[in-house]
Amino acid sequence: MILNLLSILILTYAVVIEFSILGLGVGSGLALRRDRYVARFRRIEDLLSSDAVPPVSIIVPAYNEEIGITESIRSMQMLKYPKIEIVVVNDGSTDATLARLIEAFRMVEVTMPFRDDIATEPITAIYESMLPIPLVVVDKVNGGKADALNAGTNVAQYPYVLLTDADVVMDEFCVLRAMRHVVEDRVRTVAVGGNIRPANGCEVAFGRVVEAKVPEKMIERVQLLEYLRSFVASRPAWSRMNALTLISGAFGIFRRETLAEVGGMVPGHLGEDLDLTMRIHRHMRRNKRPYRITYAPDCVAWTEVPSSTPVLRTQRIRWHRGLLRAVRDFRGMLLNPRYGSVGMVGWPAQFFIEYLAPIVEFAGWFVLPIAFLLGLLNVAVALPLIGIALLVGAINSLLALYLDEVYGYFNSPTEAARLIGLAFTENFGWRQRTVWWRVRSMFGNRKRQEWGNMERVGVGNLAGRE
Amino acid sequence: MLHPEPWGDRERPVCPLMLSPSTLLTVLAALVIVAVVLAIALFFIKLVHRRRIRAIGVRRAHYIGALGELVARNALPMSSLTGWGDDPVFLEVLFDFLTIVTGDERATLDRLIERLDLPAKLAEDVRGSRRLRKRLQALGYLVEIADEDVEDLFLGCLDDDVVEVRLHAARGLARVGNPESVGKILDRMEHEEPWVADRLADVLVGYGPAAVPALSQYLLLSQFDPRRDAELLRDITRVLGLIGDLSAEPALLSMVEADERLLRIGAASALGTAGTPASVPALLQALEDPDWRVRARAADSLGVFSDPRAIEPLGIALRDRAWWVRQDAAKALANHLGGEARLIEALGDADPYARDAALHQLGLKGTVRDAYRRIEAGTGTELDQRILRAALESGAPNSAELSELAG
Repeated sequence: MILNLLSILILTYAVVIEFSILGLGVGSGLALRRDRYVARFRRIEDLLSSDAVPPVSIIVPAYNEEIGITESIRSMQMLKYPKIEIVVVNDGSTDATLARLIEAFRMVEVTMPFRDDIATEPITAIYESMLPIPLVVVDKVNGGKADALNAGTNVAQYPYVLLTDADVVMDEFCVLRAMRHVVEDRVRTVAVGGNIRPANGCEVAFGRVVEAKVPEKMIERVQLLEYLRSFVASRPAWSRMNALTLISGAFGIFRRETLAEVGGMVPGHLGEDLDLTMRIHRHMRRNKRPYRITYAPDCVAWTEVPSSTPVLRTQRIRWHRGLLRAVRDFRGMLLNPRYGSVGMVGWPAQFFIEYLAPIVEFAGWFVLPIAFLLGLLNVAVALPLIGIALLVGAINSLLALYLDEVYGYFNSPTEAARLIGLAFTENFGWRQRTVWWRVRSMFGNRKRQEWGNMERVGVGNLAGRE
Repeated sequence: MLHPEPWGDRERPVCPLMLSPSTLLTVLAALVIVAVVLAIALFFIKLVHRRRIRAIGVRRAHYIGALGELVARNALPMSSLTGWGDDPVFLEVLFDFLTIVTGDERATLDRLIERLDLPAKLAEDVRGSRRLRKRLQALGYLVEIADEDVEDLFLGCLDDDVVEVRLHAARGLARVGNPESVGKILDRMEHEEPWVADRLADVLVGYGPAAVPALSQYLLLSQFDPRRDAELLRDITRVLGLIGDLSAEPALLSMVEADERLLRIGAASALGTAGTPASVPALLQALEDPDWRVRARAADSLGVFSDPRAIEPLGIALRDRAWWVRQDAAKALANHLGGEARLIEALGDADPYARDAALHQLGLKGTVRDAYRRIEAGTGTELDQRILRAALESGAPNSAELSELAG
């Protein structure tokens, strides 16, 4: 009896979660429709000649990035934006990252005072380029990615900072599209997140993605679908509710002053982007200040995703451990009306969908078979519920693919068929593996991991590698 | 409400959702149909989209070829052009062409536009279309070929409910360039949200010098009106600076002493492009402003004039307590005709911050490197040795580079 009850509860939970995600997808569709409509007519190019657009400092943390760092900087130089500076933070690299930068951009050491709003590991030198490019290189003692971003924020001279990764490939109008939200609501907008897509398999030339393709490897393709569900069929809705709980570390623009107020990123945190976004919500809500954390769906940035199981496993375990810590740190915000939409909807969704759902699903792996073997499972109810959960999950993926259609990618019959097929098949095998990694992350060694051990091949070489 | 018998009556409510097994099966069947239909529909949508993109590409290529030939031959076709003007792809290509052609080629396209009666058609779309998308598109194109005939249409659109329509209309007015409409845009700016006012200010730059009298007058009259929004006035100083017409100087000079900090900042900055050497005394005064942003902008603007009166005050500003002011003063001296000598002199300043700022600019300018090279080549003067000694002794900026140069 209890086993049966538990089984049905687990399945019901899965169904409710899937339907909630579907609701988010529908909400995102409506939000995207409005945003696309606005973006279409707001002649983004006009902003290029405007000096009313706030300048932006791009902070690029670099740790042993000698392979692609110069190409990354060159691609950032080509961004179409009225005024930017690029601040590369060399976080005590043990390879030739710094030497490559000094050589390629004729950097010279300068004395540049900077604000020490956020405590970081010591900065050993600051370099400025002798070439007519707005590039600053900060050399510092190793302290991890978050510490490097904090140091870069201290040195940044402009009022908005873009926190990104060295391997991110941005579309040329990416920053301008994101900053449109700041231009249109300067008082309230404190952070803007971008639309992150996997760059694997895409054709990259001159620091730009010239042709988006569906990756060949299954492991990369599934991640593509995950990114679409997250960035296309979920974030627009959260953004509309001002309940966005995560601005991806791959592309996030923040008001510098707000970053300093919340103390920047927490070094050693495995989910530093989630933590930062939540701390900004908490800070602004507690101080009763009007604010918005927005998502810019038309601001597309491409990043390399893991292409092998061990690397992906490590990444996912790291992410989930970051979530676990955030769940603990922000438990006071859960279902707390004081924190408005983020406390009542955004954070509970993270809790129930990202944190609790894998545990429940994992429990289901044992409870359901045992109940079945003991003849206690109401199969007439359980089977349809399993089917409903899986089908709604597939519909969610199809919806994400449909919403993604506006970008016009992946239209060849083969690519379309592959992705549509994947929407159904990913529930068998892949999903279980992810759940297992998430559950595993709750146990075992939770030591600090300063830099993820992603194997990179450099942004210019992404296409055609195997 | 769970059923006690796992294989029993399936019609009773059996799960927390209070749904019976048959209802669940019905839901499941419906979802199967939805999922399959969605998958098939999505597949065909993608294929149709792909075909559409290709078809548009073919039409685009056709129009590019046709327009290219017209422009090259400097002649219009004898045959009818029916349908061209109604095709959005043609309009897109045509207006792309307009951004890149000039002279005779532009004249050919203007004749084509006239023959297709595009201004009237587009104006009709702006007035009559209920679809905002079509209206905005027509308005956007109309802006590119605007003349006095459509000025009234733009003035009417300036009060539209849709912000994009208002912005397009302002761009159209700027394109027509009638200075009388500047006042209308300024009136509009007073009632707009800050970001829209910023965008309208950008549009005002498009009028060029024609807008300066109206803007200057507005600025002069507004400074005594406490109800005026300081941000709006700051925007106007910004516009005057961007236009860079010298007739704006009197209005800007009056703003350098305004009570509002934003106005002083805007004016000190704008005088750099819209001022004459007559602005130097006012800028020198601004160099002593209590607000560092005003001092920094003033230092920056003083660098433009190369006025000998500015050298010593800029040299003193190298000791300013604000880093930005020191840097901007050093940069101004570096750009100044007689400023390099003052920077070299500052290398011996008792204030280490002044030495840093001066050395930083001398380093970027290549003065230190040149001095070293001359010494190395045996042609160095006493001044070169002084520069290098000061640079090495400062132990500050560029010291690593110098050490490298010094071997």
